[in-house]
Amino acid sequence: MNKTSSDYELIEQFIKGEQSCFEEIIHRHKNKVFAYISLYIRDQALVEDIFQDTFLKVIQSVKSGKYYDNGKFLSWVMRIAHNLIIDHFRRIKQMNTTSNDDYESDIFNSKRFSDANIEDTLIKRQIQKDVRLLIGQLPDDQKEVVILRHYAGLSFKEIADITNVSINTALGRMRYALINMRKIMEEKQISLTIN
Amino acid sequence: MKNAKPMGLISTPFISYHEINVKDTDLLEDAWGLDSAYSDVIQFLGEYKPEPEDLLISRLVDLISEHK
Repeated sequence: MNKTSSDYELIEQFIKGEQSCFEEIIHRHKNKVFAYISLYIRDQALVEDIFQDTFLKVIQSVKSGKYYDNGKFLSWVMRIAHNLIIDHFRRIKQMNTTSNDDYESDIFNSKRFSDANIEDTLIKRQIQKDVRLLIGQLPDDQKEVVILRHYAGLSFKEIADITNVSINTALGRMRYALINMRKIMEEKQISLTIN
Repeated sequence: MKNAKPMGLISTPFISYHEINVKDTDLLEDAWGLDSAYSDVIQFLGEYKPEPEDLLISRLVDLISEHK
């Protein structure tokens, strides 16, 4: 399989026994899926669990013939990830124990940052923390559109399908989200550089 | 009509639809002008780039092999 193969072509090959094709799918979409999950869940270990479960569920569904190609493979994967995130929050609610905010460890505690220059790492951490803060302050419907568009890379047509609203509503939510985020950036004096 | 000029000299050259590079552009978003009007916020959002570690991916690949 060459790199220009569609997701569906790769899946078809995977079903025929070509495991490397699914690895190609993972490499193609891993960053988007990971970013999507990590914006909802702060705990790094949990993000990793849900990330793995998402792809394992994709495989189960693909093997049991539940995926029909309509050229929207990634949005289907995101829907699976989204459902797993919701399941996670439901479980927490039922257990009535810890909330997501209770987790101190987050994605930036990863050892990936340990080798980098400390100052750069601190700046990067601060900016990324600010981005999370910005997104975290949005109402849920606006937050969802921002994450699906900018981190999952879905089109507004796909976002409208996933969120069961019209395309204009999805675009309107994005506009409000951007207005709100700019306002927060101004209020909190957040910028791309750290003074 | 004395001062009229041929169309080709005063109008924008015609570009066929296929010549416009719209790859990776959401035309609806473009029509709403969100990218241009809020480029500062969008650029800031782009600073958040979490990536899964290689170890996580290799663990996942191993799990998939076991699933076979």
